[in-house]
Amino acid sequence: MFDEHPAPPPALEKTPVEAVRDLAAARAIVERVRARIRHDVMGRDDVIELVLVALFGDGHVLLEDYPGSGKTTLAKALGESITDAVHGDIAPFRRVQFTPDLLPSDITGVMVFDTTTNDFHFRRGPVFSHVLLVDEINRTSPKVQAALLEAMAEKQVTVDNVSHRLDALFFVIATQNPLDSVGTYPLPVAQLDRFLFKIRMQHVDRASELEVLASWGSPRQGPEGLARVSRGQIIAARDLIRRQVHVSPKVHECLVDIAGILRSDKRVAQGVSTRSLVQAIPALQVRAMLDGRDFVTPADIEHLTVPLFRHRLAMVPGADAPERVVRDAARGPLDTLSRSTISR
Amino acid sequence: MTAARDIDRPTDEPWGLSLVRALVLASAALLGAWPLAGGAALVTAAASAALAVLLARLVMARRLRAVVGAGLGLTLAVLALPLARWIAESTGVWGFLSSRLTLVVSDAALFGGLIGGAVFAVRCLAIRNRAWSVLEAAGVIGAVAHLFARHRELMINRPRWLSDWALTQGLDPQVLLQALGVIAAAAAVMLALRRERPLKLALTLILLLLVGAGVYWLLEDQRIAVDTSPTAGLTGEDKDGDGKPDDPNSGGGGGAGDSLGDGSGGGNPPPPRPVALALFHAEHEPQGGLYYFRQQVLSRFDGTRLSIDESGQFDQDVIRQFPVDGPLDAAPSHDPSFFKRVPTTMFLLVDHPQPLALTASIEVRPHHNPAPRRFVAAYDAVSLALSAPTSRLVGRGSIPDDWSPQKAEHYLAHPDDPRYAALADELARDVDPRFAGDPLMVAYAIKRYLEKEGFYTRKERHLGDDPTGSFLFGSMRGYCVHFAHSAANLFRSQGIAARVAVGYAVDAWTRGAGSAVLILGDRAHAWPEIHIAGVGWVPFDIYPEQSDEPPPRFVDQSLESLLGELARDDPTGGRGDPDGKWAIPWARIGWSLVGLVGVLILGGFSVKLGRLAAAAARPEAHRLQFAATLDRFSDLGLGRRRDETRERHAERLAEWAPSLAPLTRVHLRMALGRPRDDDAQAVYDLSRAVRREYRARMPGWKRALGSLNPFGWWFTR
Repeated sequence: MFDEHPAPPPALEKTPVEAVRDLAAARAIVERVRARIRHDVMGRDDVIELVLVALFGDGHVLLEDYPGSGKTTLAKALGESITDAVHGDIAPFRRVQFTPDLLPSDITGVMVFDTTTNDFHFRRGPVFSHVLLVDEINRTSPKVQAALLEAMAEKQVTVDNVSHRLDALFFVIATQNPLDSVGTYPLPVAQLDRFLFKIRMQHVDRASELEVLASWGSPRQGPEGLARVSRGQIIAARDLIRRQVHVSPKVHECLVDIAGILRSDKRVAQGVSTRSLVQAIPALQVRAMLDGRDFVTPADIEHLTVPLFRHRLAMVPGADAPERVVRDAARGPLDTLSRSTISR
Repeated sequence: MTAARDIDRPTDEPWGLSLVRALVLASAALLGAWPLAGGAALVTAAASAALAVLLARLVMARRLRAVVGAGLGLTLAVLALPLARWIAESTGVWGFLSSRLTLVVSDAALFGGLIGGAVFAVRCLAIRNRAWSVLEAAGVIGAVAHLFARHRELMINRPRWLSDWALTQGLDPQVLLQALGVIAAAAAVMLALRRERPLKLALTLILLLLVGAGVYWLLEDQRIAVDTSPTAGLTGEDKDGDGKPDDPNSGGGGGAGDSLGDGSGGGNPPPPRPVALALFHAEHEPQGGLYYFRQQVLSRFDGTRLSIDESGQFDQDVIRQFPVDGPLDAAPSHDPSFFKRVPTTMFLLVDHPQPLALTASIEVRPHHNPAPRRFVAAYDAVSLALSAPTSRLVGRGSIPDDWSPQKAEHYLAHPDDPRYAALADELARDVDPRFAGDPLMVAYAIKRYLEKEGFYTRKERHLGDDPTGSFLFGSMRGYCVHFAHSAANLFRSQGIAARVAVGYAVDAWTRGAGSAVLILGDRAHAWPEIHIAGVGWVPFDIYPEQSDEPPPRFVDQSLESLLGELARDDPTGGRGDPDGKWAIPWARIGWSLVGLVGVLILGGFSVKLGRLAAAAARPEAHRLQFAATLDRFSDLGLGRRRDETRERHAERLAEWAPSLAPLTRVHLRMALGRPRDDDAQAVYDLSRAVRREYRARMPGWKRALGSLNPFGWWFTR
């Protein structure tokens, strides 16, 4: 039964997810992925939730984090929780370390001359995967960044004037170090706009860190006991969520109002794009579904505004932190939206 | 409850500190009320301050909102004054208690309510936010400073009750005052403490004691030798003359009065103190160069002298009452064709028993007093000033035909002494034969005689049974009262109706320009008036040719014009709207505000009840149901905050209403999602469940308080 409050998450192993028939099934799929990731990554529940929202909302995430904080583990666990019986040639998970000498073809793929057939054929790059972890995205040259961003936005790569479609599930987790910025190529706002979320990770808390240390060295049961989900189920769930979670026109108004306030804010040099609002809708739907609802409420917007909008703003010099600006901008429209439920 | 009690709760201060705080504030209340209140009120003030501190602690520990506590305290403080007044004025309480007890109870209610309410309000705020403690500290220091307010402007010996005591003890008052200041400041600082460890608290108290002991030790060292005998002038009596000076003229606006024999007017001249101000509405030059402002007339001969007629049958042309409610008219006794109407406005600077006006006033009307602190009375007067030439007055009798014999006798009574008639007859014989027997001419002859032979001096006193005779048939040295009485008696002996008028005579040349005439106390005067048939009473003053009086001084013209400006502070020139432009209608504003607040409260309750009724009438309207449910929490200040989503609000209220969360979810689905068929019913059922939980879990007094809040719905968002 969906939409009972408080609704316990469905039992993962027992729920058959052969086909995604309703939101409860979709939620079961998400919870299954979540359980697998949580098995490997401790103390990062908030980040895991946002990553899942992006995955099922068909977006990409940019993690701003310190080295050695579990980014790779997270991405790998996500990739490994997905099976794909249909496309055997697509790796579930790939990782690319971005360096200044990287070339676009190193990630998209390259035309190779096959001496046996006397013909060129396309050898796929790491973007042909379900989950792609891009480490230190700001360390490579803008042309490589641009090639990746085309792949992210259009789910295709063009090599030698031939376009190759990527998998529908294609999901990028990019990282960058917030402090070590010497010799980097910072992403401009236009490119940051391609990411659904920028997630600023904090160090894990003391208890989780102790748990990590305690589990080191001791034989630990692998995630094999936890069921995986198939690529098709994720895509079906995406589709179902998009169709079944209702988004009221008032929610649209609220988003547009927030964008309007951000654009007219004196602290902001460049406001958020319309694309960001379009991307926000599926994310809000996933978040509502995760909360056991089939409609979006102000709580969803409140929860997601900061990761949705903060990286898309160009601030004037000396202005406040963008988080604060976004929070200030959201306060009024959110209050109006809440009021509207009783004031008609 | 326990979950919300975090470790840093401000009400967790040690009880010891609360008690010290209560003690300090009670002492401050005692000191602050000391100069104002009696014994019972002082005790009440101190007790209510201490009680308020402890009560505030108790209620704030029970999670009363600070604003509500402050509101309650302030309401009590504001209501204290009307309550005390009601007790003092209510006949029921008077009848129940004795009058003395009623006043004690009223005083106690005033100070207890005022101080207790204020302390409670500030304490409630200070428990939530320490910054408000500054107000408490200010109150304590202010109470002490107020007590020693007389110590200002280098008056280092004030207040005397302290410095005298200190000096008799051999202490230097200055050091004592400094010590008191240090202790007051330290006590005030203590009020800002909170949740200090007992050790720190004890150390603070020990430090306070050490300061006191140190000061005492210092004082011991500085003892000075003084003569403590009662004759040393340290009795606390005020000897440096800052008390009210014994003004010989204060309240003595009666002018020369009717004292003839004791010669009170013959002493030193009183300092020329302003007693009244006259504003002329039109230019008026008196015939004889003197303005006569008459207050009283003396017409009844009592065997020795003339005095005020108390019978009410005579002197009806003199207005004896101040106008209060409306105009007062004198009985008509003048022929207007001989007189000029002179309208004036009088402003009295000192009290007078009867209205003072330019002679002869025929009408007085109340006038707005523009400066009540300066003028004791203000009124309009219309006077008749003689304008006809003397020639028109000749050839008339004195007693008109329509006077009753009794009235004629009243105005002709004079001492039973043949010397008056003899002297007057002798003088009358000198009258030009053409006018022989004419009262006016005879009167002129008497006037000339007195002016020529009399000597004006204030140094001569005539005592005895017949002071007038002593003057007239003796040295003929005296002052205005003697001349006036002598003339009146001589006139009367010749069959001329006469009386003595008392008031002020102001030389026209001593006044400045402008319409104001300032009347000084030393212009007090008495003069005779004679009656001429067909004309009326006419002033008939005697001007002695010989005098040892210095000429009258000029009036201080800047004072005259200043008072004139003050009196004229009236845009309509004293003729129209009694409310001047600066008169703020406080009463009207106050009642309007009360009315406005009343209307607002009534309106608030109407909306509140309307929302409840609408929800009851339409169970299917989910918005109404939800809003009516939230109204209950808004009444208690538990409404949704601006930056709070509905879900988080419901979470915050879960302690009192667990069903609010599911209700909120269904409500949001109806408003923002795809409503289901049974959702409206669910909203109705869940609303009822929430109300049940509210009734079951919210304390009764809070619910009662909430039902009294007329504006809670305003905060339902």
